[in-house]
Amino acid sequence: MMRSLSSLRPVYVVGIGWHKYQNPSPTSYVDLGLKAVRDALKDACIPWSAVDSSYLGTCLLGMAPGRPILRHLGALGKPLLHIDNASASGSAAFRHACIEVGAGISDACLVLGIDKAPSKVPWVETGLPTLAGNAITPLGHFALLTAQYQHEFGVSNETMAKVAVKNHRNASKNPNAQRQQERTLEEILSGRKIAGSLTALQCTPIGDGAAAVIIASEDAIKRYAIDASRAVRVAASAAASEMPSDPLKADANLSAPTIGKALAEAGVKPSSVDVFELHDAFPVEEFLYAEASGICPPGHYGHLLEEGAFDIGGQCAVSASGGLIAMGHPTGPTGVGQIGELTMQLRGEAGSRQHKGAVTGLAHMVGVGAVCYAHVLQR
Amino acid sequence: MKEAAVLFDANAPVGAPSDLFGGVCKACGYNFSPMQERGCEQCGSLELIAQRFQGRGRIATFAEVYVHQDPLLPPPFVIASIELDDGLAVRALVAADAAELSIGDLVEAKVFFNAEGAAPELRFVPQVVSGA
Repeated sequence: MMRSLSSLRPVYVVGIGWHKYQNPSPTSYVDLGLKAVRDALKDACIPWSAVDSSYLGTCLLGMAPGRPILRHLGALGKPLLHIDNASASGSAAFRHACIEVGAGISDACLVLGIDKAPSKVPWVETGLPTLAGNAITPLGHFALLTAQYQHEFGVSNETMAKVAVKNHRNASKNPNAQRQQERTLEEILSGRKIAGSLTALQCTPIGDGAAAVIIASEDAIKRYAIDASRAVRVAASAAASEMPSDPLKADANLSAPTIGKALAEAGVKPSSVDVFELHDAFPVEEFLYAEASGICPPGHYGHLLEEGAFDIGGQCAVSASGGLIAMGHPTGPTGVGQIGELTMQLRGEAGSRQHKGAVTGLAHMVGVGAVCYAHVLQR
Repeated sequence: MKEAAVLFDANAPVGAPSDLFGGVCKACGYNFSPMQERGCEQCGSLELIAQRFQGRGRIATFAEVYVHQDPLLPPPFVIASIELDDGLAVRALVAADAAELSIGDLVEAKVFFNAEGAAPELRFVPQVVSGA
């Protein structure tokens, strides 16, 4: 019989930490990772020796980059697993660490997302050509989706760009964000044109960074006297991969059932989600995935956005961290950072970004449109 | 645009309309392009039969690209998703001014040469409506 995470023993996020997401830099990935891990251990108030197993989400650093990072905490000989699942690498690492703790194999796990922007992403040909060749990059793909969504629902460039206005505003209050400057609608619309109606400030930046979380069982919380009032329950975890679909619908078609499965596992209605971190690398993704989640009907995200429903303090705070558009998307760290943001919000520790009374958080990532993860966290 | 021969008739004269090469799964009826014998992406069957699809359809969405890394494909250029009359959805370059295109426009595939000595490419162009 297949089982869900929620049917295993409870798993909690007890520690969070980041190295700020930043423009491509000379900082070594080792230093990025150590900063995030040490902050997460400090937040959990546990020693490195309490961590039974480590999961590392990364896809741009080559073979086994966890070793040169974690040895500086003391090489204690404990299990270390590297997970590459494109943009969802960190989310995948988090899911499997939760399964390990839930199953009772470990009591406490580290999940570290780490990457540095490469000069060029290695790409191995599949041997099957396509009509468009390399003409359609992710930028082009989402420009196509943007135009289609605008056509289908009659949404203006201005309304689409207001996602970026909101997310830059949120990131301006986030010290771990890559872009920390509030932007006006005019600034965003008048920026460098990239593809279709997309301008540079509507596209996720390339960057470096690290994010870490410590997860623990109730046994570990008691054993290490972790402050249980700051522990956030991982209520559900769902994962899926692609099915044959019109490429224009694939991302949303993959996201809807994955998010739906996670919400069902947690026993949560979409309307009960207080904070939602999603894969908003481009504004249209926020429209599509939010609608796929059921927090609003298809075609309604734009006018609700303009009414402030998805601001911090609104119906549901979407991308309170600044999201991929403004907090950044250093790839491996992104999904882990989402969990950190939700944990901060559910603890009530998000400062000027705090969505008051947040009880339920939802995290969502896709990886090259081929894999999808959703997690529900609850206070 | 490598291996053009599995995508369309690479020996067709420049400017000629072209079918798209692909296949259909005998087990589940799934249509695909280009032709491949690795297994059906819908059901996994290896009973795949070569099939041609008419290179005619309508633009489902399009966008002009202003930033692109490949020096062999300098921007701006237009990309589109096209719903073929035969039911298949494909993505391709469109040889037309973006300002003169609309979603829903009828287009057809034609053979192009991007540069002398380069492999032939297939791009879509607006269909010429007779009597217009």
